[in-house]
Amino acid sequence: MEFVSKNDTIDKNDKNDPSINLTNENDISNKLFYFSEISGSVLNVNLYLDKSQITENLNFDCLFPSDSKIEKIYIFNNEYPFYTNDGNDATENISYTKQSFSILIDNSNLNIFSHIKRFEKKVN
Amino acid sequence: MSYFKGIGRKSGSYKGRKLPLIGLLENKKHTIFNEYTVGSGVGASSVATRRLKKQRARIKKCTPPEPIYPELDENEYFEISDDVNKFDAVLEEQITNMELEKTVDLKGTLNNDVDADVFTTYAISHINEVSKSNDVSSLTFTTTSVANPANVAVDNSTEDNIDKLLSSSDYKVTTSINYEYTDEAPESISQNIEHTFINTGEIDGRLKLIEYIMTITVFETLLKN
Repeated sequence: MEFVSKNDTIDKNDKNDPSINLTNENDISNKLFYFSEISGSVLNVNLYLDKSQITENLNFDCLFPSDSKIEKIYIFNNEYPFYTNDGNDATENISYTKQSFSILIDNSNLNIFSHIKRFEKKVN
Repeated sequence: MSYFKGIGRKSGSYKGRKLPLIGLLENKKHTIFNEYTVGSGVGASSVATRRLKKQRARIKKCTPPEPIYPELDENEYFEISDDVNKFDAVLEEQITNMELEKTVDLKGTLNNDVDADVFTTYAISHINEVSKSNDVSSLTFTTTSVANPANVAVDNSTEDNIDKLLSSSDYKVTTSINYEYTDEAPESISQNIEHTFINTGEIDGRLKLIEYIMTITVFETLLKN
């Protein structure tokens, strides 16, 4: 995964409905987007993608330095449901959350799968 | 002498750590070359054949077989064999000069100490490189192993934890982990560990802050002993 630091795409103006916008990225495939500005107070985030970014067998990751996670995905302003595996790897004092996405296209239907891994500080 | 053997992703490494040769499954001696050799079959041999066999036995050198794995992805995937029992200057130089962001298969636990030194050396190479930037940046390498080499490295050092082991006078490392065995990992599993080092672009005093994200995925073989 290619590491991409993204802070300019976060809209935190609406605290109840924070969003990250990746629609201006040319290619999101096999990239790890690092959102360092999303704090622990922002638990659920909306992700905006463009239809042109959706390709077959698309994989990308999002990394948050908090307990945040993407809960809604909008593609071309339409919300798409997705299947989530909420790993529950760590339970307390979460320092990072990594959310991996796989998008599969089946008969023109989008199937979005998401796997969440949570991290905590290693003390010894 | 090279400690590395380039092997392909079709090698079966992901399917189980103890994948025996077919001959071992059948409890017979087998060759990996399935070509017919005159005089090598079962049954009686003629006097002339026996004489030839004796001659060959004297003059034929025992040479190791060619790698049985296809050499796909060579230079992308390296193996530290369990036969390597010493982290000497040659190996250290190879690891230090190895291209970054590769996958290293550390195999089993027979040479844990070597695996730990390989991990520490390769990790420090990545941290040194990523800390050169003043901007947010990241590098990742992957290890496959039974034991977590970071834990072995800490056990072998005088430091209390992995943060202190990897930190230096130029940077401070803070480690986060998603999962780990509280007891020793069983030999039947493989831990695929992504070691991601993020230069946060932040500074504490004069130390650059490096976040180390250790992503562990555990695989268990479906083969039964």
